[in-house]
Amino acid sequence: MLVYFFKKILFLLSSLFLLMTLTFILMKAMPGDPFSQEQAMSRQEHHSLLKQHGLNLSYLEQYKNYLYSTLKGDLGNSLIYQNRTVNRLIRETFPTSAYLGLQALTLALSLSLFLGLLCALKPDSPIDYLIQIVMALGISIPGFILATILQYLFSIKWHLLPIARWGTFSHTILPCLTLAALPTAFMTRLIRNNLLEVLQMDYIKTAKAKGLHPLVLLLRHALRNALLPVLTYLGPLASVLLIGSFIVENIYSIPGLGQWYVNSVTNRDYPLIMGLTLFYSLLLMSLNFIVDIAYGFLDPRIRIFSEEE
Amino acid sequence: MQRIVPRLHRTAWQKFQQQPMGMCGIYLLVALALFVSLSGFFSPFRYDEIHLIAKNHPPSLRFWFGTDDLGRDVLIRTSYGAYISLCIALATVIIDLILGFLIGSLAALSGKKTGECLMRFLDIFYSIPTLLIAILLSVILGSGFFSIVLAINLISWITMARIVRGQLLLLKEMDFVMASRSLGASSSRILFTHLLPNTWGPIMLTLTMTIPSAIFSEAFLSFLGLGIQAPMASWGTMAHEGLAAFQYYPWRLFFPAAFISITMLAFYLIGEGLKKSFNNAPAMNLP
Amino acid sequence: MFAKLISLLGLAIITLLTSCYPEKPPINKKSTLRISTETEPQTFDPRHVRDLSDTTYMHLLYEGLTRSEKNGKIVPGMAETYSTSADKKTYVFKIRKSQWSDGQPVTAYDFYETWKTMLDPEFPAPNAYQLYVIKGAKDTKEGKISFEESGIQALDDRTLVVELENPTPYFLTLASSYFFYPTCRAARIDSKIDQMEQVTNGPFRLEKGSRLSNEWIMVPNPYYWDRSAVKLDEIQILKIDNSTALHMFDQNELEWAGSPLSTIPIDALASLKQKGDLNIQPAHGVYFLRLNTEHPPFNNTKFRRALAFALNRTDLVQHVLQGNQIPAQGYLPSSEEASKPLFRDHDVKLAKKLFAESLKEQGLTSSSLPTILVCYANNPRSHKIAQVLQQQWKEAFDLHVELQSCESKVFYDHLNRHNYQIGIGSWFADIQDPISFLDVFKYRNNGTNNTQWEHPDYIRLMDESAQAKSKKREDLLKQAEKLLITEMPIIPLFYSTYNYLQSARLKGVYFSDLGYLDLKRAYLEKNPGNVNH
Repeated sequence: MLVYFFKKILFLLSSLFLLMTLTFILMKAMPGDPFSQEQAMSRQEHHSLLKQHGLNLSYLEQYKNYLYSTLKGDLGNSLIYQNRTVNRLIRETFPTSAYLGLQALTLALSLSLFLGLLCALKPDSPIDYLIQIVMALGISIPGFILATILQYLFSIKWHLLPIARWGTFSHTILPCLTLAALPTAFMTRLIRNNLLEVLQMDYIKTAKAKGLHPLVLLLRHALRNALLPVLTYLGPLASVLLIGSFIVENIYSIPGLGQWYVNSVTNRDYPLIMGLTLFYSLLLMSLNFIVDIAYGFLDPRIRIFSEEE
Repeated sequence: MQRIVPRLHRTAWQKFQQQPMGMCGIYLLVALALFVSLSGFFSPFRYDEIHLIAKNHPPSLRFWFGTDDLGRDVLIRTSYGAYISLCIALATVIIDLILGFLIGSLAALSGKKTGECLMRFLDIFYSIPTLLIAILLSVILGSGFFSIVLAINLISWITMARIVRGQLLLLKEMDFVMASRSLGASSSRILFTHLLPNTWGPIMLTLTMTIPSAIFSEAFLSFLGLGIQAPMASWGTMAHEGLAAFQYYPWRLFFPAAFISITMLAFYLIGEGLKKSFNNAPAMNLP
Repeated sequence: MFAKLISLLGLAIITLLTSCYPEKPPINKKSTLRISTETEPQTFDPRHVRDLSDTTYMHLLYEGLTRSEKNGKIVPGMAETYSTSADKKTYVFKIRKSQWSDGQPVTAYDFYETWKTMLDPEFPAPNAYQLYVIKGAKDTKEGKISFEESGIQALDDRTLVVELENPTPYFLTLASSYFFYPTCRAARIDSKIDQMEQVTNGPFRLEKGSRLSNEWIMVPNPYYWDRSAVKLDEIQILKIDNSTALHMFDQNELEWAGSPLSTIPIDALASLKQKGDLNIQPAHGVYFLRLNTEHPPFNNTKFRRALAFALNRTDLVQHVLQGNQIPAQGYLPSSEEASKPLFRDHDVKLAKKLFAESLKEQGLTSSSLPTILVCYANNPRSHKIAQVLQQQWKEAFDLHVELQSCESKVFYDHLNRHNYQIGIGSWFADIQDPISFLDVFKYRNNGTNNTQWEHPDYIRLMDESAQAKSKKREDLLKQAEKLLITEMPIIPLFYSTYNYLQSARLKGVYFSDLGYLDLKRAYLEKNPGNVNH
């Protein structure tokens, strides 16, 4: 077991290193630098700005310095926002996006479980069709439109919820709904389809013939197998939700981490780009790791841990 | 009792024709195609024809879908937008199917070590900011349709690969596969006969998610300045521009958004129809 | 059976509801001014400011030697009194007894040391060149002489002496700008990253712990020498998306939206104007097209002029921009000395003639012209402008023009490398003087020029104006503008305006036409009962 974990960690570190190198290369390949603007500075000022931030050194030199400081735990300072370190930025904004993401994830999971079960219990019934159509629509409305429509209806027209910003529970409702829409739609149909397939299997028919209550059947036997594909989707879904969405954070003015992903790239804020990529990758890999373990729990036949084959 | 998997395409098509959902989907697409070609033929306006005086007019006899902020006819622009959005959809389908399915299968069916390695590579690529890649592609290839399609799909196929891998991991442990193998079936036969039909469902489902995702990613990237050049616009771009004016001139948002939804609905219905026509009770015997 | 399902759903709902978040305390009755901003403040150190929005924060948090009030009046700021020598080249400022927001006294040395750092060759201060009116400043910055040899001296804690290169009539106005602001000792010695407490000397200070949550809170600075003039209890600067900000303003959740810190969506302008809610103020800025004068066919003057005269700026301003901008018929905004238009807008006949002549001169025909490309950084306004330009040139010359929208940094890169043909650009002045506009195109190597155009007569006119006095100077600058228009390395489009929404309760705001908000004397009227504008 220990060997397994050790290998895993080594693997993780080497993939992180590969990622950082790739990102660094791609990042520097982009034209433009953090300080170019239309109202340009004199070349001298521009040069001394670059020098102050160490951007006039060779790329290799810069990368070495960056790696060294990262190993010490210092992800660098933002080049654009002069009094912020990357560490602090992540520390301040991640809890907010994570909170919202968790809320959306919970909503999406529970709602899709509920609806998926409902559809699987009564396949091809009117309610099944209705739910499926609604879910199909849910997938075909883009996030930015949904956010604006929800904002317009619930906030501007009906004055039920706050328009934007962050601070109380009611501020979280609209962004949560916006974030949860697409995953709910997708997972509902995934669960429904998988359940229906599983329900056709022989062992289910056997259990039914033995007189088992349909709901118990569903929950105890069928659900486990139906959930496995959902689990695959859950890893990246969780990582995307926890990191935060640029669109939702912009429209609802939420101080989360998601907006920085886009802003850092358009600003060419190199330390921030690297730091965020690193952070996201760590998050994703840990979540995938958890998913892999959960796989083993749900279906022991999927031997993730052993060294067979 | 095992049900035999129908492999003949002729039978599948006949089965498809019996599906009301699937046929609905086909009819919708046909209607869309008709709309696009007829409007292209009969419209008195070009898609880039600006009438500043008539800007932001609601739907009227002259402009059936109203005009946008530069006085252009929304109907003909929606029709042109169909080309772009559908091309994006097609590209997504192709890339997802080919890359996603291939790599996903590779990851699931090859050895433990190779599979792990591959998944780690996928994780790495997934973690690189997509915007970075989009900007670089637009610089190298010049902003335009090709670079943006590449930018969107270079990362999105990874989701498909993951789902395929997950499904195949599950399936390959099943008894019927082992039974097949013990009977001496070759790997490719197992793949195509047993595994693929059972993966079809999740693949279709994922496609119905990645296609609209791709269309909206294109809208988002256009908003940042990468992508097809004005005055061409895709549905996503039109919807995005209509969004800011939603309260004042709702038709600018309504028509492109409605067309996106209808098209996605059509794809969904076709997908359901395909699934049902390929239907086979998997001969799985789970304990 | 359904009961079990319902319980499942119920569980989910309870999970959500129990994810409690501490409720914010209800808003108390302080007079709070809430402003929406599009972008985050990049810096609170006046030496590093580059962005237009940041200048508002500077004017809220700091104060210079003098202060600019409504109508351009100059009143004493940190300097209680000031006197000039007979030759108008030396100024003596007597710094008043006042303190920084941490209680430390403001001294002449604060000014001395701050300007010293700005003129340090190694210190990157984007606005250092504004100090070049001071004797020896340019040389100090270039490392030729030491700071002690320049014209700035602090005789003691309360006396600052400044010697200028030439008599500069607008120096006192300059001294009120943010590039001449002081910084406190702590900021100079140890520019601590993540410094939570910004020490400032102006009417307001940044409240502790407010750099989170997309909002920045400012409260009156208790140590400000004119504290009694400050009426507001709190200023909240909130980062909000532009459309959302409009809605929030409608619901009285904001007292100010739009320029200078954010933009009102163009599509909303028509309806806002109709309701009478929109405030419009001319800005000290001009939008123009940069032409790469080394890239054929733009090396031909007639071609450039043809393109310029064919445009219908009135249509552009009226239908596309809708903010009551002013079609440009010269280069300097009309808020400068009112001048006769230097060319006619939408003079298609003249344009066609020039176009034909330019083609003949270059030995080209319409079909053998290389593809014309208009490049721009993608934002909603430039996007619309570009498409209209495309249409207008097509109508005038049957000329097919292609558009190339770029991500903004990519666009600036193109400009710097002169890798463009036509680029949409703008220029906003730092000081209320035409020189701020005309200087841009003096030398082709100027960082902002990028047109690769330079003209010996233009340089001569600018140099002479530096020595000349008021009327003569005006004349020379006007001649320079005329030369610029004759040569047309840029095609002026329109003079910008500030569009904003101001709550009816908010009074006493000074919105400078340089684009910053001065809220020192702002106050909110108490409106008992219905608060509707």
